[in-house]
Amino acid sequence: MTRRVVVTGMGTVTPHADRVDELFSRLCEGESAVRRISLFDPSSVPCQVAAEVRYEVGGPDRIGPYDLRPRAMRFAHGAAQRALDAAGLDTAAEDDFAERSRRAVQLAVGVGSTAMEALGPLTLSTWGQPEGGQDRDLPAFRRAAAAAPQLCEKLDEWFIDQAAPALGMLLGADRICTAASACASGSHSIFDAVQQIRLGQADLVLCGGVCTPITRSMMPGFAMLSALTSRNEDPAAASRPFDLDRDGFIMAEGASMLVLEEYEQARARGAHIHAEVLGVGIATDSYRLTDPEPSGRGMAASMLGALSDAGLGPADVDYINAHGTSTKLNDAAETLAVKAAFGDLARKVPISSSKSMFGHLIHAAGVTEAIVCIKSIETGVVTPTINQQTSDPLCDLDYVPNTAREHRVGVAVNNSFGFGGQNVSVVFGELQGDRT
Amino acid sequence: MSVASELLVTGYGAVTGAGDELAFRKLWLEGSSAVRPFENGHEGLPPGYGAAVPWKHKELRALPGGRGMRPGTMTASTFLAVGAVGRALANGGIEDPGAQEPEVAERRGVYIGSYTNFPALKKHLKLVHIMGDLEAARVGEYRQDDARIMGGMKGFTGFDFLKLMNNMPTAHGAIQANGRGPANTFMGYSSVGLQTLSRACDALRLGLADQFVAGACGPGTMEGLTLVHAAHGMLSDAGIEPSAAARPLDQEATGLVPGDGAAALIIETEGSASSRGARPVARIVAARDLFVAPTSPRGPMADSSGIVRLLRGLLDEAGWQPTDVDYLAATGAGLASLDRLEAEAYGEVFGAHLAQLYLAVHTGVLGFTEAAHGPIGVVGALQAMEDGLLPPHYNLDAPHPGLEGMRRVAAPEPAEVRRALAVSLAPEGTLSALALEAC
Repeated sequence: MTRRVVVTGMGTVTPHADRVDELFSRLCEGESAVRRISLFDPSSVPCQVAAEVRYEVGGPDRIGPYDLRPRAMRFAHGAAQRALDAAGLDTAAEDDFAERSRRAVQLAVGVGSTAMEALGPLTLSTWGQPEGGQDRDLPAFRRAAAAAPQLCEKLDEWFIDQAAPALGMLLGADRICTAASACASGSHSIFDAVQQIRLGQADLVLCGGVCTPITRSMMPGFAMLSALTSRNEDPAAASRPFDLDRDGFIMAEGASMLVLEEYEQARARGAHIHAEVLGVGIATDSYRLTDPEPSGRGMAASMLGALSDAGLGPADVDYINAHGTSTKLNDAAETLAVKAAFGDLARKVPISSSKSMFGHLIHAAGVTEAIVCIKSIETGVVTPTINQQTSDPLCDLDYVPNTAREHRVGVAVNNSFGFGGQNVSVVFGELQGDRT
Repeated sequence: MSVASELLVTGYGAVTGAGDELAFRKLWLEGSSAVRPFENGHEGLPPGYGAAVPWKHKELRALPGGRGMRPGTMTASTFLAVGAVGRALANGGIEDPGAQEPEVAERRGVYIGSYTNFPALKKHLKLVHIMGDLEAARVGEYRQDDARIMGGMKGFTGFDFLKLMNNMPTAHGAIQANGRGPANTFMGYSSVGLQTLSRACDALRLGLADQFVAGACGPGTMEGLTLVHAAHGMLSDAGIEPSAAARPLDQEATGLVPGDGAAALIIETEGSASSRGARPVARIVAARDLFVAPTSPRGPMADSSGIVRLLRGLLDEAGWQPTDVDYLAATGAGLASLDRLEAEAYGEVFGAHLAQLYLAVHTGVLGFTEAAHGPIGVVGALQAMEDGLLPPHYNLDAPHPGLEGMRRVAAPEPAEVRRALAVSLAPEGTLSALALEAC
């Protein structure tokens, strides 16, 4: 018999708030967290707006050997600690091998670090005045670095490989795993966590994602890919998924975590169960690196796969939280995919994009949007897609325009689709006793 | 975790500093090393030598699924990964994956492990340099002039940013292999290659696919990684004779010797293999990984107890006794702090059986290939199962305590290899292992 997987803890550090209830409440009000970038002066870059975390995220400076002061580490730890607190869990003791062997961490991390700046003094001391027009002699830089290796130590932060071990220590887990599938990464971490619990490799998995991409190199870099909005004059209106005038996504930063548990264990320890993960689906476009397959073939396959895994059909779905990036290609392809997967029912199911309000959290997007789905299940309210002003004939479904809606949600589908054609859908549902 | 016994390896391939998997085998059996002084783009990098991949783009394009591949859109990680995927497809009898029916493609997954997809530093250093304030740098500070950002960006293209996304080795690999099933990139530690194979087995067990192309890439000579290792004092000493520098599990080793590499396997269910007439080489019997918090972020672990737990857990799940193991593909990174613990653990778990089992350590030949290290170790084990030969130990003259009684092989020896373990230990405390049985 398949082991059931339930959600017993949620934690977040997002541009809107670092408390799940406050985040959901602000989303229900249709509040945008998009502002002009403050982390650096963006005047010279094409996209000057983003959704930043503009508050202090508390917490210790270290856990074990890991420095939690870098922004990504601070966010990851903050969201994880909040999820564990919400789930009523403590760190497993160091010598409690039995407990530790049943716990795992599954984390998505990716682009984003300012650690390159740590090499600034070395580049200047090696190559001199930036305006000098001198040859940037790379072997000379390497020799200088080799002679003073301590100057390269901060490059560690670029590798962002210390977040999962740090969370492994926080949870007291025997297994950790880091993975990345671009914008689908967060949902992928849920997929992998569910897999581990179903196979009996773990009873409890802390899963989630973290991303800090609002940097001097990433912002112009993604603009060069024509992925970002250029609507700098009106930040709150810049993210407009499915609207005819959409012109790209909004970069966002943050972290979100879920505690997933095997159902019987969660019930035995008296944990509050927020929702059940009913099914997961995954499919790959195998098409192009930058563009989604235009018919939405892979996206539809991931939704249908997740529903099949859940033992449900399109008629059972009450809400879809769309990937809905606000790019021309994604939103049109996702609309086609929903139509392909849901047929005539596509026009009846409410679909909304949280990215219209908090932008694209990249590796943290899937889990943050999963939290939105779960809160919709718990509250009977679906959040809106804001900035819906002009209908796009290619996007003609019910996107819950501009205003939240009271709507009973027993089953919700969360979509995450990544650069490179990696598609993941997760089906959440309210807990229904002894489901078989 | 106990992996279903019907998960079969039906193909494998590798790209290494020695060449493809055949060239690697040949060099290992000859008892030679691919480690050479750095040249051709690696000038000035510490430690001054390594085992860089000599592959050319045209070789990549000649592989299955390689015709449409554009190396200019790839980092070194991705380039290595698609090379290994292509070799595995060719050896696994999947010559033209793009021509296969959608139903086949939808049941094919692609998982690639990659320590990181860190690109060449050159363009990023230019950006950092152009934005810098020289006066501040003279007192050790770094201040940036944000008005110069776009000046620093001259010469960048969107692809420079797309390339560095960590999922690109898998995204390229999925297009190459025409894999429309599960696809993911596992990353972050040098042990992630075996963890990736384990996750592919998990997905097969859950019925999410019938076949996987799974493996890992490790551009060990990539400068970002090399500079970090230098910063942490992890690299082998400069000025050593390159071919003698990589000394796995040897007390005279002075550190990691960078090596490039990638390896991939075709893993599939028995039904999938038999329906297409594939010849299985081995079955995957068990897989396990473990995290042991290190004493500092880059290691080492406090003691060998975690490695012992990993090995005993793996053997338990495989249903094997230590004496059942014929072949052990070890890590042998060349880091004294890690090799000492690894040797101690093998001594404790295998004891007197070390005199019989063959301890395979390919890092002496290829350097340390980061995430690819574990899957390349699996490829070595599969080759031994097929050709019945044990390669000579290379640069393993003074083994660490625990290995005193190990079987020593000075020249290729014939042997029947039935049961093999592959072990990948990252200095950071992430440990993975896999058990294989010959078909």
